[in-house]
Amino acid sequence: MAQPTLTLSSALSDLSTARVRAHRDSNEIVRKGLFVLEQKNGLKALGGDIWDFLEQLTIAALDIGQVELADDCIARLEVQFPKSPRVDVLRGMRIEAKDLGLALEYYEHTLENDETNVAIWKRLIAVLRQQNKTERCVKELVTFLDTFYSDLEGWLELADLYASLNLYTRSLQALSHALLLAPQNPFHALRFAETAYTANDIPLALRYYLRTIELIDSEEDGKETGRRAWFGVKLCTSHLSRTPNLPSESNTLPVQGKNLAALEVLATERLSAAYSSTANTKPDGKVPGRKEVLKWLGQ
Amino acid sequence: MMEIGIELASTYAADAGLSIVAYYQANPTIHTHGFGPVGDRILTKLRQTAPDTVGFLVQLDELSSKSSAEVPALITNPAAHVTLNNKRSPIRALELIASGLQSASFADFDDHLENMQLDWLNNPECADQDWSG
Repeated sequence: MAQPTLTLSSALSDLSTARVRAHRDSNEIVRKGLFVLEQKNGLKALGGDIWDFLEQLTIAALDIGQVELADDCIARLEVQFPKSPRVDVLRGMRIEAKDLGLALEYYEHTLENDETNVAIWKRLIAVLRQQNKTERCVKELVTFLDTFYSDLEGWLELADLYASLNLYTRSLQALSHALLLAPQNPFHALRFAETAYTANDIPLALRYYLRTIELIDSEEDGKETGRRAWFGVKLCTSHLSRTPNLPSESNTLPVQGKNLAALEVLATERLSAAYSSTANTKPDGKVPGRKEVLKWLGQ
Repeated sequence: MMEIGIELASTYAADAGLSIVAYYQANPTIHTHGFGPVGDRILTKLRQTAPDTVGFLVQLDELSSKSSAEVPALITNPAAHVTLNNKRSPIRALELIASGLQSASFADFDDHLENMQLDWLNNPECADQDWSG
């Protein structure tokens, strides 16, 4: 597919949006970042954002293995910010690209000088995870969260780590902390629902799929998350219709009777509507996968 | 969502006169081994309807190995001998990835849920025009 023509202003705008929203589409960031660097006044046009841009470009370049580009960005940042903890992190990430063992040593040494350096501690945990040193990784992350309880990213990482080890109950416990810290965030509620489903706690999963839908402020903004949640509601209500007394490790009471039937009908209607909406059709007037979804919905 | 994706893909396959015969997985790091609990669960689900489903695990640390030129970086589950119809297909897949498949609009079910216009069941823009099967 042909990509739209880049302009300096569009590239700068897209890169700025990606920074604000913490999007990590590294291929795109490098493509647009290189474009900016190649323009005559590219860096000048960034103004005060130049350093955030270089940091963003460094991380993206390392993500896709463009280490020379990363080195160039880090060198510029080191000149501007010679003793910056943020540049220390980028330096560590650059070492990770070459040798995880060396990176681990670098992070351990840096933490000896400053044990409160959150970013470095997180990179150390990330390296342990990459090295599959699971036991130590969990221990470090738990210690980190004992110290920095309000680090939402840390709780989400711990939840993911436990889930990767098939420890879904512990994963749900970690996600519970995330939900305490960000109770209005539908993404975390959705993740909780999906983890509960994977743990075969269908009643709990249904409750949180419904909570996700409840948390979505605007149908337009949350339509993707909403779609996932409605798929989850349909899946759970189908299971509960077939087997009303499904066990729940969390002792969540299952929805039953006419409420269950009503939820299943509503989920079917919401998904049918989504797959019939003109907003979702391709230029040929079709929504890909519509036939399969309608069949799955029983229509 | 993966369970739904599998069911939808199975419906698509059945309607097209096709069968799902294998599942491939590439682990996130070279230190991660085996299919893991999720991969095992997927294989179990697929084998409920197709008992002969094969699992292919891409070995990241072997991808760049020159010694794996013929059938690079794959281990199968079950370990019983599996014969590829076209022995070149793994190498061809790697060629496509190296040539920029990642920048094409390759979409899975998750991507489709984000943007419903993505044809995740067909991925027509990613079809190998030179494939002779």
